[in-house]
Amino acid sequence: MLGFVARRLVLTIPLVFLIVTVTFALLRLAPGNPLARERAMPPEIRANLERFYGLDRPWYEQYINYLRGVIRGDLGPSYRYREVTVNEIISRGLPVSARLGVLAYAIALLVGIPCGILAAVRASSWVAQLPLALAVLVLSVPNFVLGPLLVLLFALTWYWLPPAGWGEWRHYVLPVITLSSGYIGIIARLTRNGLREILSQDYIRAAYAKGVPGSDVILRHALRLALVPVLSFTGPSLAFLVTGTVVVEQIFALPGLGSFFVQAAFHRDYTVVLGVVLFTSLVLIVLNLLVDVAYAVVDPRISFTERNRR
Amino acid sequence: MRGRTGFVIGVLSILVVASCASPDPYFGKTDPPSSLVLRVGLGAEPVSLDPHTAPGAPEEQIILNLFEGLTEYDPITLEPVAGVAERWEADSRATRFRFFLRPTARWSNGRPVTASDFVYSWRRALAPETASPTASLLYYIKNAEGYNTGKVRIRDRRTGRFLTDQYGGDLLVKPDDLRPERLQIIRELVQATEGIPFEIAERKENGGSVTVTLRNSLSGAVLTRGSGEPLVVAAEDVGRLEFYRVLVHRLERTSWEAVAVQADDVGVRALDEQTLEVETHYPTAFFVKLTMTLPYRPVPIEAVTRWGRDWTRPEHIVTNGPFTLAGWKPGQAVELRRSPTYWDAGRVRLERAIYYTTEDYTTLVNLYKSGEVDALTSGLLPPYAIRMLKTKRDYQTGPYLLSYYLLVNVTRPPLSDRRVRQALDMALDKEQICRRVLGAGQQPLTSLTPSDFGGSYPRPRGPSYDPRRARELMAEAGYPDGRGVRLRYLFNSGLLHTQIAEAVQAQWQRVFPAISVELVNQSWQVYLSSLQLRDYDVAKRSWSADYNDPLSFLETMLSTNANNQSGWASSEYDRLIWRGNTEPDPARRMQLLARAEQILLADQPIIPIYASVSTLLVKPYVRGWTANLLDRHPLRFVSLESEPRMARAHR
Repeated sequence: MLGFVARRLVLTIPLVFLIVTVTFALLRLAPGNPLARERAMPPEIRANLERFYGLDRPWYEQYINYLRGVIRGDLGPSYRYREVTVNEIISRGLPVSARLGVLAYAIALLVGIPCGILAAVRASSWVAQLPLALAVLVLSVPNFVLGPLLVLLFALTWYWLPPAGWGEWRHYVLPVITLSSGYIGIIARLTRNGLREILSQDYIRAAYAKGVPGSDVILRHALRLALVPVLSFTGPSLAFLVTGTVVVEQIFALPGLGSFFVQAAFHRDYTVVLGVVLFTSLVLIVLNLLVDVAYAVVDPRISFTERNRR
Repeated sequence: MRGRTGFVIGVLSILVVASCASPDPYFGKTDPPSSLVLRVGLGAEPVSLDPHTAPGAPEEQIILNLFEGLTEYDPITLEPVAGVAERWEADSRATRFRFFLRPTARWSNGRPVTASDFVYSWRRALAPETASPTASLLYYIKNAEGYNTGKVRIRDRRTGRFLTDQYGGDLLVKPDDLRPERLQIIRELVQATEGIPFEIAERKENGGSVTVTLRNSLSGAVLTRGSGEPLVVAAEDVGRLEFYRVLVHRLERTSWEAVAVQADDVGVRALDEQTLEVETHYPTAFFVKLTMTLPYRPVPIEAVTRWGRDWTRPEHIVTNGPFTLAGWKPGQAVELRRSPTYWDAGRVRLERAIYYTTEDYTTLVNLYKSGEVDALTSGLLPPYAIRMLKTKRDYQTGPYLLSYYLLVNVTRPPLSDRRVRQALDMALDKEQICRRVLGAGQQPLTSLTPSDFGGSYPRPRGPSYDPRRARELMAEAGYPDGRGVRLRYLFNSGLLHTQIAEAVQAQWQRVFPAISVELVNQSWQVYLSSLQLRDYDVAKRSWSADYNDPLSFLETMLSTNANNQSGWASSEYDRLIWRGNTEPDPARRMQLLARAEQILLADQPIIPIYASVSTLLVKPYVRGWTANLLDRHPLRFVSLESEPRMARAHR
């Protein structure tokens, strides 16, 4: 397994290099100048600013300088915020997005898995199916509709919770509900489908025949394998949640990575866009790797050597 | 992504309108605060809190509370009131100003604020390595422009005296202009145009630089160089022709040498710890008003030299204003705390102030309604909600120095024909746009300046709505019914801009049935680049004043001003503006500026649409936060009425 992890980590280097290069090229090809301001500056002032940011250099020099910085772990200064570096923007935005994402996903797991189990084991009972139906219903309401609806009810009508902002516990409630709602439905469905498939296997029937109690069969024998699809889903979902959930951050004005990324893209803040893309790619790669490792822990049938050969 | 965000905004918009349709006299909660903390909806995130590197609003809202200038804004009239300077005086020509600093002024580290602080700060703002985007506001000071832009002065070798320009100031030249080959082209340009009425014969764009060929507008003959070849010069050189004439004339008669302008040459010095003397380049009667703007505010030398770019961080910053920086969470809020060392700290009522910095205006309105925010700065109310909000008692409005107009690219046919520009202007019913599209009390505009500045400025009027005359003019220009006129109307994303663009398009098509108007909507940075490259026919533009004076608008159309992206240049306009600036008598100065604006309106490189108004929401318990011409809100004058009975009385 160590060899597998090492190989994957080595492969990360050319992949990240490719991502940085393509993003750099796309940003330079996109119309718009990061130093353009509403109040146009005299050419000499503009030249001073370009010198300040090294934009007076040819593009290949800028590219090489950027790569050198990346190797040193320095993602450069923001073109928009003169006193802030990209490293600082990421280190400020990440805790917000990560806290929100992990919390939302944890709630999704805590609610989604029991709903899925209930729906799988009591397939004929409408009481057991109700939570799943509700979860699917919530799933079909996009968060850009659910979020504003929650704001209207809880913040603007009853004044119970703030409509936006960050810092206190009450700022978490509406964004976490909005964010986790979609995932509850998906996780519940994945759990139910996985569990029903496992429950139809021969060894489960054998376990029942031996007189193993139903709850033990489900929780000890079936659930572990039934959760493999949930685990597959977790890697990319958690990466997406942790690195910024753009729409929810916009709705609730949260200072997460997603918000910084959107603002940076609008303002052609090249270094911030590059930095967030680079960081997001790394998180995605690492989380996918962790999920692959977790497969082996959950499902002993999965072999790294076989996976690699495939 | 953008479509999705747009949808979010759309949904939120409907919800806000729905939620404000209540019979309450106020918009949302009006519970008074339990502590003396003012929470303000600011809008965009400040780019910097360094007064010299911040580009303007919204940074100024915060900076004016952190760093006190020589003078400060009166919260209602915005006229200069005493700040660090207790009093000031000017000589009769308005070229030398003395500011007498109050001995009690202190930095937040306890050190006195001295005249040397201002000398250091202004030189820092002008230093090319500071790369200050607002340095041009300091250019009225002697040699300030030369130092900031790396220019040279020219000295007579024999007498040792510096040569002067046509207005009597030092003759400042780009070093590049003095290269022999470049000087030769300038000489040939001056000779070829001497006493000859000329116009642009041909124009070529090449990677952002534009060259032009000139012809005699009477005979049609192309102007040539001494060698007989056509004279091809940079477009911007034509705008500087008057300056070049003076330069060539002076150099011909002198044995000269060039001397680089240094920081020490900038016309500001400390006569003693409490007296600052400023020498301006030309008479500048309105100079005191400028001292309220960002680049004139002082910065602490000890923090700047010790911490470099990081000096504005909360842990390093030293301020001299009524507040100091308590925290700055990007994408979230900036927090200020009352400064105990401020000379007038006893009269500052607020303990703290928090500026929320989200760019989503609907979110800010929601925060206000739910009682999380006490006041909003102007311009943050979504247009769709204004009609509803106008009925609430916490809605405030008043005149605001902002003009909304269309910039016309006069370098391309058919807009190079003045009659077409005039016809397009006359075909617009601006009254209808203000009433039906805007609805916040904006006034139809026929000039570039949005105000008569308290009756002191004899503001000229451009043509008014006259569709019949518009059709005649268009036909005279060879485009009956607008046939053959194809226009690209450039504007940046935003609901209001889209609605205005659609209204203008519809009105033009109603008056000229055969016209073709293509609406080009671009995101902000792309729009700014297109403006700069002059890639448009007509472009939406709005301009708000930096200071309470018509010049703040009129100087944007000077031929040498980077904000004049229309391609229009008038030496007569430039001359009148300069004459106005050098005129010490205020009434006469205003007349000269008005004559310049008259020339602008007659030539029509802009199509004015409306003069804006400020639109604010302020909770009933907030005192001293009022709508004003520049939307500046010094917190020193703001207080919170925290007694519950007051709020109940308002319910």
